[in-house]
Amino acid sequence: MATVLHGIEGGIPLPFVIPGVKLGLANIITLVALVMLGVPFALAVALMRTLLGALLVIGFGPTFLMSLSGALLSWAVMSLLYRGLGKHLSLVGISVAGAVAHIAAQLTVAALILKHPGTMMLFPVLMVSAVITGILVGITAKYSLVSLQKIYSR
Amino acid sequence: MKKGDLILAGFLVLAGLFGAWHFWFRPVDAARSEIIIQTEAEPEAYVFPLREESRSRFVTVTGPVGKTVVELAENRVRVVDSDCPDKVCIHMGWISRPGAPIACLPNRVLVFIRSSDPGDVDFIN
Repeated sequence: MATVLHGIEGGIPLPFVIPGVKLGLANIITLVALVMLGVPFALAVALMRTLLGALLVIGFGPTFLMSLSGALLSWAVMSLLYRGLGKHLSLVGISVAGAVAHIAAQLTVAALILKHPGTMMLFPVLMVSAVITGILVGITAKYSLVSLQKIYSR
Repeated sequence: MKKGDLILAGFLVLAGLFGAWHFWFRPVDAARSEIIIQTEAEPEAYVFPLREESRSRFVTVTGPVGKTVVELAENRVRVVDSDCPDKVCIHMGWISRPGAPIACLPNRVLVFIRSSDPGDVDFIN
């Protein structure tokens, strides 16, 4: 029961939704949710922020498909890595993988929507920026978790 | 920071460098490449040869959200103005080789370069 209450409480950081879909900064929320609330709640958080982002900012066009696919794939990759390889990867590594998965999914969807496989050529450049934001996201998540865990362990 | 982090980062950096080299450092045969402007209605609304000396030409296409203006210059092309909200297409800048296209999603416009030479790399295959 405490876990369920925690989950609802944890849903509050959502107004965080930054239209920084391009930067993948929103992964901070998914990652923190993953650590604090577990895999299924992290999925709920990821879906909700994507929906809110669409409702408030971007609309439900092709951009929505891109951000949804990015959110889903990065959740899946980060969940797998967090549960499987927690020994060898710190949060920074997990978030880098999540960021790369995020842009890989978005780029793939873009290439499919445009019906232009050449779009994938953007991948190397995007991947470099994904690694950089992944590192920033990982560091931010790490420090956020420290603070959040202090608040929550009454 | 753990060991796995470094291995992952190293692998990704190498993969990125390899991909970047693959894309940026192959010569383009301009004589056999074409600039294609694609609209919602017509998959090949405009076709121009890539190589043309001292050309600066503007083509305007119309789509669901308004007009998109494409500038064709020597061996390259870009979107210079568009009625879309985000202007992503303008920020792409110039393209001068086959591969990644310039896309204006809201206006359903696609500008890309196609090579007629099957040996050229349009995408990784």
